Amino acid sequence: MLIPKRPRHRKVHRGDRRGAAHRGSTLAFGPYGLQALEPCWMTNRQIEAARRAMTRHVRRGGKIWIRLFPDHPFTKKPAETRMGSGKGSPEGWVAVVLPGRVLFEMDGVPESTAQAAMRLAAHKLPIKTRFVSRVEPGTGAEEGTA
Amino acid sequence: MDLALDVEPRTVMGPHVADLRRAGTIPAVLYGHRVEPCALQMSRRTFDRLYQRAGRARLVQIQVAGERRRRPVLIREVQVDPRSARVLHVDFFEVDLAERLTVNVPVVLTGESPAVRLNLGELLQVMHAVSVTCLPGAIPARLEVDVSHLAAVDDGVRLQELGLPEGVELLGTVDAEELIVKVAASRVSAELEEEAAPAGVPAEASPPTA
Repeated sequence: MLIPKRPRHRKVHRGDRRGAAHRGSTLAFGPYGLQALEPCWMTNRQIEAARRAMTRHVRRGGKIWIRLFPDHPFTKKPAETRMGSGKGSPEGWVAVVLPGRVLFEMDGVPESTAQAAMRLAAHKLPIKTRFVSRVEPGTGAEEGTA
Repeated sequence: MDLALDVEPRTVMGPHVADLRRAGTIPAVLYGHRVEPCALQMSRRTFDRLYQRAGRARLVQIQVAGERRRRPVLIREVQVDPRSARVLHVDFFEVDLAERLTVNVPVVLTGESPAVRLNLGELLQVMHAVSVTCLPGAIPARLEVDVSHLAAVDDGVRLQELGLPEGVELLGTVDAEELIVKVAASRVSAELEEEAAPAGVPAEASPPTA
């Protein structure tokens, strides 16, 4: 499971999830990808579950890129605790996802396989996503969504 | 055949261009070497259709409303909304037909690699566009890379092996040793083996500690 090697701080502020992802919003490696359409905190378990779903579907072959990393720690207070008395204890790691972010990319498989694998992966995620594919404009077809 | 696009001068500037976009118009700007920049606008539908055919490496003849001559331009930058994937703004670069320029030309793979056919590996395209210098009239629409001779894992095609048309040169700052495409070894899924083995203690991520 993805986890930072050497965290700088145990607890960080929550931050905000306003706006859209401008960086990391285009396909950079493979011809197919899965793009987020909503903001969320995506846990390392969800990322791992999606990756496993994709890998299992593709079986042999293909290459998968994970375009996000859960580097944001989140905390939780124990159950039945009164408010106050400081911040809760660290509970896990999340990636802050904004709409437009490309979450995964895939290469080395036919488009139909990539689409099916991404659909399975999308079921493991807490947000709506869309399948995106790249074909350079001017060489046949346009980068598009499906 | 030359591609043509009719555009109008734009008077709406700044944040007000959002109104234009709502009305189905795309704001654009035209600039170039020794060319006075001007703000333009055009219909989204017309531009989308043209962009699919032209890409960024093909000359487009722009007719600005009220002007006599057509301007030869390249589509230099297309800003896209990451949420809706709609075009937000376009930069046109007016070219001087007698002046060499630098342009990114898309790379397209042709043929079938024997290594892929025999399931030895997968093709990994590392480079999707190449920066070249040439005269505007000689810009290739795309550069084709034949992969039918890639028969073994780790075989690849480098920039220096790319057959460039006459009058087209690689940009000086580009390393000719750079890889365009290679055959990468097939991934044998570690998970499949892992799943086949009896389930041990699941790997749990520990909460952050410092």
